[in-house]
Amino acid sequence: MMGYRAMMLGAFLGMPLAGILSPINAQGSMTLRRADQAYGNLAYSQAINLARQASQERLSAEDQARAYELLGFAYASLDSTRQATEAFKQALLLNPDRALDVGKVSPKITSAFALALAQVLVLRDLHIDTTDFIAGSGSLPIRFTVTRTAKLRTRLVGPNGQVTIDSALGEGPVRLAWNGLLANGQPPARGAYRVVVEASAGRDSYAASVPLQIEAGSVDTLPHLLALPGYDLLPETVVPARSWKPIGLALMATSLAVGGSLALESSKLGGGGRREILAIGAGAGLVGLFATLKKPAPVPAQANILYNSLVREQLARRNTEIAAQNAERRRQVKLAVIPQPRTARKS
Amino acid sequence: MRLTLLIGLVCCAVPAAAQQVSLGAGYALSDYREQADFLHFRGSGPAASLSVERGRVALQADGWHLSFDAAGDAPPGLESFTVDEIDLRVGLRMVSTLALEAGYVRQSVSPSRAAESFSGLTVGFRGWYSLAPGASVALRTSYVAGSDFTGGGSAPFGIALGLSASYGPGSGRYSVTGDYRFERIDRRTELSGGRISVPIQSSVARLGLAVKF
Repeated sequence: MMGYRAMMLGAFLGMPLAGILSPINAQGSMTLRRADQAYGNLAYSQAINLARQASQERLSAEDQARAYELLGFAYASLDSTRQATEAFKQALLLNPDRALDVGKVSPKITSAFALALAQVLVLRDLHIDTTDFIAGSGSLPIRFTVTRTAKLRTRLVGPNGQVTIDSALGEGPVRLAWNGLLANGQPPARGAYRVVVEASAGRDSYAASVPLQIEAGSVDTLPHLLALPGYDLLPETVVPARSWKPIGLALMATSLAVGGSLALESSKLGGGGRREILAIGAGAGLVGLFATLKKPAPVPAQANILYNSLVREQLARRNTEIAAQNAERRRQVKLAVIPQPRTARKS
Repeated sequence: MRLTLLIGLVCCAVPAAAQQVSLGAGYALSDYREQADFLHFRGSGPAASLSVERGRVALQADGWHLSFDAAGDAPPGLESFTVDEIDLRVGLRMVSTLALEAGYVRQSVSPSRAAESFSGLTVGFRGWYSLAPGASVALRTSYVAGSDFTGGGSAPFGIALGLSASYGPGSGRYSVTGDYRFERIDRRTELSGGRISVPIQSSVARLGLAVKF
């Protein structure tokens, strides 16, 4: 009965683990590989011995974390939760970002891992994105998770100075932002920097850091606008339709002059001269005709003029704002932050 | 000579800044009648004009020198004569197309016995309308008052009527101008203790070219 249960348990644990553990085969430690094979064969005690042996060897941090993780798996499979938790804690201290796929490992292992996470003080998933921002006005987001309540101190250190970004108690996911200025209030010069996060809780402490390459450059200025987008200037004059009004007015003026002259002529003097009024009257009529045939003069379009003046006023106002912004931008420094591969250490 | 002097005085009197000056020259035809229908003369001669406009105020000076001969229907033996005339007017624009004008007109006849020389004050209105760029037409009427005649007498009634038209290419800096003026002065004088009417009537047509500065 016991053998059957062990076999079922081994099948439950071993089948999913085959996929997870496959990368181990590529690892260099023979002991670690044998431990993995023993675990795969459900020989948990042998796996524990071999994993312990491997952990004493001179392995890389990743292989060492893997050895402790294998140890945790084997202990958990044998229901030795305390030992499993301790093994997972060691694994987490070596590689705090290590996580289990809850869909592929047994609940026993998952719970032991969760217990280890609750007990150990580590900083997980310390993450900084590649970011461009303006020092003093933008910010660099910094994200990480602290597994226990701890006093957190986050700093940026580098060759040209340092600054404490934040110092406070924290637990769980933590989001911080650096405004791009050092302790002296100036933006950093180009160079290699490092964001260091230190966590301390009682006697436990942990520190993690992310190296950054910071490039400092000038901020792009805005071009002045020649037109407001979507607001085109309208023609300020319009050509009216051709009309007969000019010749009408010329003939009316001529008629008035002729009529007035005839009416004012003195009868005692036997009338008056006609050639003068006829000559000028005909000329005035011709002027009226030419004016009628001439292309009408453009006349001001008051509504368009008002509209254009408002648009120009807005354009001038916007360009004034742009000039002020550019003056400010010329004093600013644009930072390009490029995270480098990070390391972690425990203490 | 006097006309040139007057035009020069007008030019100097008004500051050059912010003003529009128009200078014109041409040829005038005239019909002159006096006293009765048999005293009928026709003449022609050179004419000049100057216009200075500043703000609502405009100053207009017209002058001509005409040589008159008896018309075909006049009796023989009438003496030819010349007339120098100057017509000065100052206008104050009241609305965009209408101005109140006051002026002075002086007509000098040589020889003086051939016709009547006179001077007088005028007051009237001038209305104009811009027909198109460079084209305009104007009407003018004025009352001639305070006339002074070399041969004596007075004129209780005198009136002048004018028609002007101008046309030029483009905005009309250079333009062809035509001006017509009809003038009637009802002069009365005393003869043998009684007052007799000796009216004077003239019409002048002037064709010319003008340039604006």
